[in-house]
Amino acid sequence: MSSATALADAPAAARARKGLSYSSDDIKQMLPHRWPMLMIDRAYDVVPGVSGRGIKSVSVNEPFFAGHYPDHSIMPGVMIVESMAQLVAVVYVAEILEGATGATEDDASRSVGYLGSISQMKFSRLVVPGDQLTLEARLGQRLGGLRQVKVRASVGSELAAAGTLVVTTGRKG
Amino acid sequence: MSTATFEDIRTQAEARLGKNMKVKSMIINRLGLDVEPAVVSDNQPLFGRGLEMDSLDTLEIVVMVNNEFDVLISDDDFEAFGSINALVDFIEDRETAA
Repeated sequence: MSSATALADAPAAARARKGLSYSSDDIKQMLPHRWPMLMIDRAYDVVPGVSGRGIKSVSVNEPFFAGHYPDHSIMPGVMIVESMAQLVAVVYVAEILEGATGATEDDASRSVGYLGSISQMKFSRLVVPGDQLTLEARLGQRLGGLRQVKVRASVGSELAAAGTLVVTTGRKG
Repeated sequence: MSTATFEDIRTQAEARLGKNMKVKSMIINRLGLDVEPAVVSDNQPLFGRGLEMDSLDTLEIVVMVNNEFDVLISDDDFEAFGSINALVDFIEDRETAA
């Protein structure tokens, strides 16, 4: 192998090691969510079906700031959880798209399930306009259509929230 | 039957009762149930009229058993959720096989 080939292969090797990345436009193909409930701007380091990281940039234009609160803008904790859950959905849908099932993005976005439980969630820091949430998700054990996920969100080096979710895989009922 | 064998059996039985009580306490703590471990019988159903667990609780127990006993319960192992005895039988069976 020439040194030029080795250099050309280096980014591919780095991508494989770091996982997949998805832009905002990619994510819109993967999730059924739309404004004002699309709560993740980018995903990266995604290992399909296993783990991933994501970004949610928090703008003062978020509709929930109109009421939470009019004179004191704080991102509601449940919206942080929603951002985490949407990252989980990206990791899950990535597994379907990268699998050998031949599923289209349309099929995959319809397979996004629901939140089953939120447990041991701690909120450690206020999240305000201008903050950029770094989201992390690691999928754990599954049983039937349920999957446990460890999630966390941070702003810079400060932890904002961390806990455990259970999500359903697929829609029922 | 020798005294030693009787003692062995009694030790085993006590160990098993202790393990059942440990599993009961773990389930009650993990699921935040408002019940004393001592009033949960070993053969009481975990679902329905028993401890009234649901499928989300079942996944909690799967995670708990894996963390505590390093035993994996899969989709095909639903017999493990019949009762406390069934769950401990399953755990001991897998521990012996390992």
